[in-house]
Amino acid sequence: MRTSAEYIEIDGRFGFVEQAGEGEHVIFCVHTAGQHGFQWRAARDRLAQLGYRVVVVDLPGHGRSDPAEHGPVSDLGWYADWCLTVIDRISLDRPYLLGCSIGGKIVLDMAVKASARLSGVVSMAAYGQRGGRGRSARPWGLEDASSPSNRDRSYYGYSALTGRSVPAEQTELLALMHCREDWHVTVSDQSGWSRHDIWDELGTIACPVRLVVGEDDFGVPATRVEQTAARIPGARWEVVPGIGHFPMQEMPDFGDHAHAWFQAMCPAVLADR
Amino acid sequence: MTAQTISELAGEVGAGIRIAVTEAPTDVLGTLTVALDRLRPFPAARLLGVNGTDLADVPTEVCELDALVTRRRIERDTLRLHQDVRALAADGALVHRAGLVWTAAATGSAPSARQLAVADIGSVDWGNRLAERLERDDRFASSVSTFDGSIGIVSGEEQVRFRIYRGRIIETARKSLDGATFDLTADERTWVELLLGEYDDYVRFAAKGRFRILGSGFQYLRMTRTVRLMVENCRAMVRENDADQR
Repeated sequence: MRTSAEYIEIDGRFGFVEQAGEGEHVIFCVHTAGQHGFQWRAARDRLAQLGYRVVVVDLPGHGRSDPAEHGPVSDLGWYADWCLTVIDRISLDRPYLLGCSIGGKIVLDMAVKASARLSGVVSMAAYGQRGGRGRSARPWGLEDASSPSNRDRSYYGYSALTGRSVPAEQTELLALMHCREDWHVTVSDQSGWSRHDIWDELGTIACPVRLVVGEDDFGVPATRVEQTAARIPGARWEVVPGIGHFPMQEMPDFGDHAHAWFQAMCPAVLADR
Repeated sequence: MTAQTISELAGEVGAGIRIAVTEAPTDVLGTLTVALDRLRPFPAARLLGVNGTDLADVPTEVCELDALVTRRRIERDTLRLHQDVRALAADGALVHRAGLVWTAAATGSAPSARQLAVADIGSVDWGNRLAERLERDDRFASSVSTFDGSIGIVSGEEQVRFRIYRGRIIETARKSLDGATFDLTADERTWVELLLGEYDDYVRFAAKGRFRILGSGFQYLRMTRTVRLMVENCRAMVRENDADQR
């Protein structure tokens, strides 16, 4: 399969973008807090096989992208603007968006800002309200001296966020990849998750939306996802059994599921793949 | 009351029952009274007391009682059982909670090894069994190799503290002289569900606020791996004894 990668300069900083497949229809993928495009590796390949052009970004400060100019970002709306800039720079025509966790909130934010430029959105493990305690990271939370054992906390925390049905070796890999994170970036992302609030704008979204939440994702109450779907015209939502916070890494046939979700949005265009 | 051998008694820790509430009493005590015979762990059990409820009016939506035996202790010839009772609404939401204490005469054989792993969580005897197991776990020794302090496990009213120095537990007791560096605190039901559950749900329970950390939050975070290994060993004691009994 043909894949490519490039660095795109935005505001003097380089962002990493990889692509696979050459299809007419484009899927633009956004990762979770602290992570990077690795999360979409299996999904990217399967969706490309199914005939899509798949674009995967590393958000600023993540993976191979440069840090953002002013350091770790705690404003998911800023990330959404950055992603829309990437879409312009590489001239994507009405892409489908696919995001998870903060990526799920970011793609919803993008839909609020630019529905007319999108074919549809699949937002996983996310909702439109403030999350958690709805507050920013406290300053001491970003001090090494007050926040010990980040690796262990990442390992055990992300292991627990994975679904019951996921094989142990996959859970282990997922947790170990989280241990690599720059936790300042992760904590800032999580702060952005908590503060992000597009509740009052959800009704303006004018492209097809599907919300997906894992049954075992104790960080994302299904009730909030349902409430979010109810505010978006025509939106659908579903709970995936046995899956946690990372469907694209946990579902062995994720690419086929995602294809079905996009097909349901636009059956005439995406039939017979 | 007829004396029974321990092995003949029902109501082991982890024994649960769910009872549909069809009557509509006006308070918790009334609801419990109506359901008392069905909550009774075994016929000879005598109700000793009711704890942990403010006896407020029972909301009309209560439709089920969910009871779980959470402690089983033998003192001299008397068996004492704790039973956590949750009043649930139709959607499963918890609307009220009470603790029942039952007692009965008990003579005869000792509890099963499996029951010992969960029967009296937080007692010093239980803590000694856990400490023996932790002493054999090299991962635990490594995780506390730079720790000088005390970690407590508190289940309801029971507490046990492990005094740890340079990779070893040097004392297991109800209290440590200088207090606990931190205590891992939860109600009895939480501990029983954590130890007997199919999955190690410590992180999920902690995220839902079912555990409280009293003492140094910094040291608790620092000792994340130690805490996880302690929980893992608590759960392993149960499963090890399951295997022994097969």
